[in-house]
Amino acid sequence: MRRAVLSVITLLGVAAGTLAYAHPATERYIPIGKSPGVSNVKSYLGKISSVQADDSGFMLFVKDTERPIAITEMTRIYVDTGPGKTNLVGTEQDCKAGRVVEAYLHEDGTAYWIKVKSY
Amino acid sequence: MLGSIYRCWILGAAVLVCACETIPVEPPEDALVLKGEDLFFNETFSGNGRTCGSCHRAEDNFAIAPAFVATLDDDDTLFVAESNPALASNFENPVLMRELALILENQDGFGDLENNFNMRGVPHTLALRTSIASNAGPRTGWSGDGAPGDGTLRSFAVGAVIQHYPKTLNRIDGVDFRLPTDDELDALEAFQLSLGRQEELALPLNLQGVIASRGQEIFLDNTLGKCNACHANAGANGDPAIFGPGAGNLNFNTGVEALPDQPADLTGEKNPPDDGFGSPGTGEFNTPTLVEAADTGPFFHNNSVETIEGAVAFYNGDAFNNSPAGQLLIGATGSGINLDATQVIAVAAFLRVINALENLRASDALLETAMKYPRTNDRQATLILRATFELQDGADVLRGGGLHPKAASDIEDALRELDDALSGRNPARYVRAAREAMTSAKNRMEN
Repeated sequence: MRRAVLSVITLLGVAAGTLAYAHPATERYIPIGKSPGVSNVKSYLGKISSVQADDSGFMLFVKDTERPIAITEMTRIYVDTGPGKTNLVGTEQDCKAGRVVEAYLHEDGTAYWIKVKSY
Repeated sequence: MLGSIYRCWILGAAVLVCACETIPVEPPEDALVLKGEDLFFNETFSGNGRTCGSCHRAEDNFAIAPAFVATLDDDDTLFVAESNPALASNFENPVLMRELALILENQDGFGDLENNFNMRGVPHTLALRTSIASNAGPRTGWSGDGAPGDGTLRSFAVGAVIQHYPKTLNRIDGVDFRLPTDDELDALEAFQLSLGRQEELALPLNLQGVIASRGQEIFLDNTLGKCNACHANAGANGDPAIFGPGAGNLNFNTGVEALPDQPADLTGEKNPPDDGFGSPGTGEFNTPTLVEAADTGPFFHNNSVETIEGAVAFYNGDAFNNSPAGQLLIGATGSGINLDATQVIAVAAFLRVINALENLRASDALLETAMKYPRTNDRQATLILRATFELQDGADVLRGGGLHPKAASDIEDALRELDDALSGRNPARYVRAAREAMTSAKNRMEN
């Protein structure tokens, strides 16, 4: 029985991680600042002040402070192309200095998703 | 027929939402829940005409089964892909929708609509208060990751509007739909949480039938049925004695996708493998509650098994025993699940009986609320009607398993009384008689 308990708990560990229970795909169509339970609560909304040379992240100016945002292979990047236009799936290259961005981060500081305003 | 009756019910609900401000003392129902109910069944969010109730039908346990789909008119909003040219491709598969009640979901993203989609059944929205919380966060939808934003049930409607409500596949907010407001999300969440059971069963029950009683023993036996480990108290949560306190709802890869001869595949329609939780997926799906299972088939995320007996038998097969969850169970207990036919039937009988008991409980609660309204208020008839949906399910579930024929007859007696109550002749008297028949039915199954 002890073996059973240990095995099952190991399985649980694989699936752990609160952020992973949100569905990132539909975020593509949710405008910047409107993600339910996230925007204005857990995400960071600001302007990109500088971009790392290797596109691995950027500094986001939020209110009075700069915050590093790290991009990984798993980060979803969506591009808001303007009212009445289709949002696009983006890449690191869309994260340019001066652009307005909303970023939702994992606890380790890497980005779960990023929305970039391109207009 | 049911659809038109139900529209009357919704109308009644809408009237009540407007009228409840005039009720002087303690309204019979929560205003936020009623607002959520109105939104759930009537609000299209400026989209293609669908509402939450297009797929989560009150007449069909807030889910939708192929048999129910077959009763719908061609102009039902469920079939919007057949009438709106902008949604003709890559929005739904009408063949799989009509034959198997499968809905198209872009779980892994909207970048390749032609190839990147899954076909899933519609999960019911009953007993959500007991079935989506976990130590790791809320688990919504079939794979536990159905909601955008913070992943909560409150946020689920936003994802649903984007997936299922658009006028075109551009899915532009303010053009193809409007996203729900915070107030609307609050109300929708309150309504969904109000549906069905509000607390877990406490097994074992003192069941009266020998087959269902044996089924309960097998269910609870961690060396035989092993069901209770993941479906504690026949709910959707892991057994705290195994998974720790508060583990709640859990995700597993039980191998459903490995089943041979899945109905959707047999149609010849395009049906990509469903990788479940996450993107790319882990193959895991979350654990559904079993109390409400017997009347909410077909079963599993892809509607691949039609009967509750088949769903129990699934755990005997190679698909489960070779799956990661099956292998884990074998490693932990020394063997897989290996029930003989009589044992499969016994477990299914247990599930049928607890489902029928829940039908009776839910009906009784609805009738109690109904009778708090004056006879002149349409809401009374609305709630009585909803009680009949539950009772009919209870009778069907018992008859379908050849169980408790006298209890089934009692339930059918209660249905006749409620028919009379709905005809307007002294409803209180008929509701009282119905509840007496329901009590008799319950006592025949459990005391």
